[in-house]
Amino acid sequence: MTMVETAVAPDMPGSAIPDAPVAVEVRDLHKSFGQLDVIKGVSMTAREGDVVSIIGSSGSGKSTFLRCINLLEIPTSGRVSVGGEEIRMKRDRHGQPVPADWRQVERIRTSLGMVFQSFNLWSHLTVLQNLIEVPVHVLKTPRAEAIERAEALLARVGLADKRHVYPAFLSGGQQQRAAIARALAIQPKVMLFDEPTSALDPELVGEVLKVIRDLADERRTMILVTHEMKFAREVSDQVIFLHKGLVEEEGHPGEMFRNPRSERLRQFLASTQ
Amino acid sequence: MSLDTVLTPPSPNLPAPDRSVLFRRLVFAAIGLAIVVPVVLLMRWDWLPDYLELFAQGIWTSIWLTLVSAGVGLMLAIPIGLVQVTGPAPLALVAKGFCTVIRGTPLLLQMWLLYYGLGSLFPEIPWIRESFAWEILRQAWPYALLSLTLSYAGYEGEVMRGAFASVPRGELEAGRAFGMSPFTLLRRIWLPRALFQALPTLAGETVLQLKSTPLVATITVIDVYAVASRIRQDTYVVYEPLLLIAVLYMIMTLILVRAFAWLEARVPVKRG
Repeated sequence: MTMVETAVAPDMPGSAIPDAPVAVEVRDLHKSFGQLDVIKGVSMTAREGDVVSIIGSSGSGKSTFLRCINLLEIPTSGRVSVGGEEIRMKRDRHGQPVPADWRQVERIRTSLGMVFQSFNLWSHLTVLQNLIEVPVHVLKTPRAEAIERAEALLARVGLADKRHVYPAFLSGGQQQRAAIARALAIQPKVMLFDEPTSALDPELVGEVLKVIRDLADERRTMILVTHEMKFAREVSDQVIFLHKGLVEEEGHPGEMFRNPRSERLRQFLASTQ
Repeated sequence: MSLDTVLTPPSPNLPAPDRSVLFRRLVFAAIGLAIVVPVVLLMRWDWLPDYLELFAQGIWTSIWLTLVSAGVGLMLAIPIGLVQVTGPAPLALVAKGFCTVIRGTPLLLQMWLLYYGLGSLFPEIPWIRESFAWEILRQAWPYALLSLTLSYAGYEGEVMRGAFASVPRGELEAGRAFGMSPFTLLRRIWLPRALFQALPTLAGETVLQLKSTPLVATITVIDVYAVASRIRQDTYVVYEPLLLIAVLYMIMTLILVRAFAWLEARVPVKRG
C-alpha cells in the first residue's frame, strides 16, 4: 500500500487547476557543460493553464533549464515530456545523449513558443514575414490564413502599423512584442520566456510585461524565466527558485515571497528589492 | 534668413532645386565633352563600321561568360563556404584546399592548364573523340567558362564561409526553436541572411570577374578584348579600339553595379 502511495507523483504546489492535464513535465534533469554541472537534478510539472516562473541569481541554471525543455540544450540525463509525449533520447557512439528522433523534437518544438532575451527576430524578413515564416514553411498553414492570423496578433501586441517594417527599425520593446507575436503565431501549447525583458531599456520593460500579463490572464500555459520579481509574484501560479542547479524552494508565489523558508531565497529576495 | 530656416531640412515631398548638384553635373559634362570631341574628331574611326558585328559578338561573349561563370560559381561557392562552417571535417578540408589552390595561383595559369593541358589530353582518348561531347570539348569556350567558374567559386567560397559564419547565432537558434529542420533553416534563414550579408562583396567580385574575362582571348575565345586585338592586327590602329573597349567595359560595369545596388536596396538589413 505504501508502494502505491509513493508511486503517485506528488502534485506540484500551486497549480491553477489541480487536475488539468500536464502540459510540460520535467523529471530529474541534469545538464553539464564538460566538467561544469549546471543543472543537478531538477523536476517540474506545469499543468495546462499554469504560469510557472523560474527565478534565481545569474548562474543558477534557470535559462539552461528552460532551454532543455525544447532541447536547444540537450540534457545530460533526465526526462522531458510535452503534452504527455516524452522526448526519446539515445546515446551516440561517444556515449553522449542525443535525441533518438530529431523529427520528434522538431514536431514538439512547434508546440512550444519560445521568446528569447535578445528577441532573435529574423532581420532579413519584415515583421509580418517573421510571423508567417514558421506557420507557412514549417506547419504548412495556407498563406492567406497565416497572414490573417498574424495581422490579428500584431494588432493585439500593438504593432499593426509596423507589419511591413524590418526588425532593425524597431525599438527593443517593439521587437520583443513582435517576437512574442511570432511565438503565438505557431499556436503553441506552451509559451517559453527566457528573460524576455532583461535586454530592454528600463522604460520599455512595461510594454512587454503588459503583453505577457495579458497572456497570463487568458490562462495560457507559460514557463517564464525572469528577473522581474514583482511581476513573477503577480502573474505566477507557481514559482521555482533555482540555486546552483538545484531547486532551493518552490511553491505558491504569495507564500514564497512573504515567508521564504530558505535563507538563500531570503537573501535573493532582499538583493532584488 | 533666420538660422531656423537654414537648419530646417527641405521637405522630402518637395525637393528644393539643389544648385550645387546642377553645377557639378554641368562641370562634369563639360569635361566629358572636352575629352570626347577631340577623340572623335582627331583620331581614326573609319574602321569601326566594318567591325560592328564582331563587337556585338564580343560584347555578348564577355557578358555571358561573366554572368554564367558568376552564377554557376556562386552555386558552387555556397556549399564550399557552408561545409567550412558546419563540417564534416574532411569535406571542410577539401573545400579549404580548393579555395587555397584557386586563390593562390593566377587565373591565367589555371586557364592555360585546363586548355593546353587537359584540353590536349582529350584527343588522345578514342572514346571521347567518338562521343558527342567531342564537338564541345574541341572548342575553346568550355575551358574558358570552366576556369572562370572555378575561379569565382574559389574566391566566393571564402566570402560565403565568412558570410555563413557571421549570421547571428540567435537567429538560427530561433529557427531551430520553432521546429525548423536543418534544411528548412538553411533555405529560409541561414542562406538568405548570408547572401544579403555577402552582397556588397559579391558585387565587387562580380565586377572583377568581368574584368578577368579578357584572359579568355589568350585561349582563342573572341570576347571584346579579342576584337580590339583583331582590329590592331588587321589595320595597325592601336589606341582607338582600346579606348573604345575601355568605354564598353565601363558601361558593362556600370550596369552590373546598378543591378547589385538594386538588389541591396531590397532588404535594408542593418550591417553590424
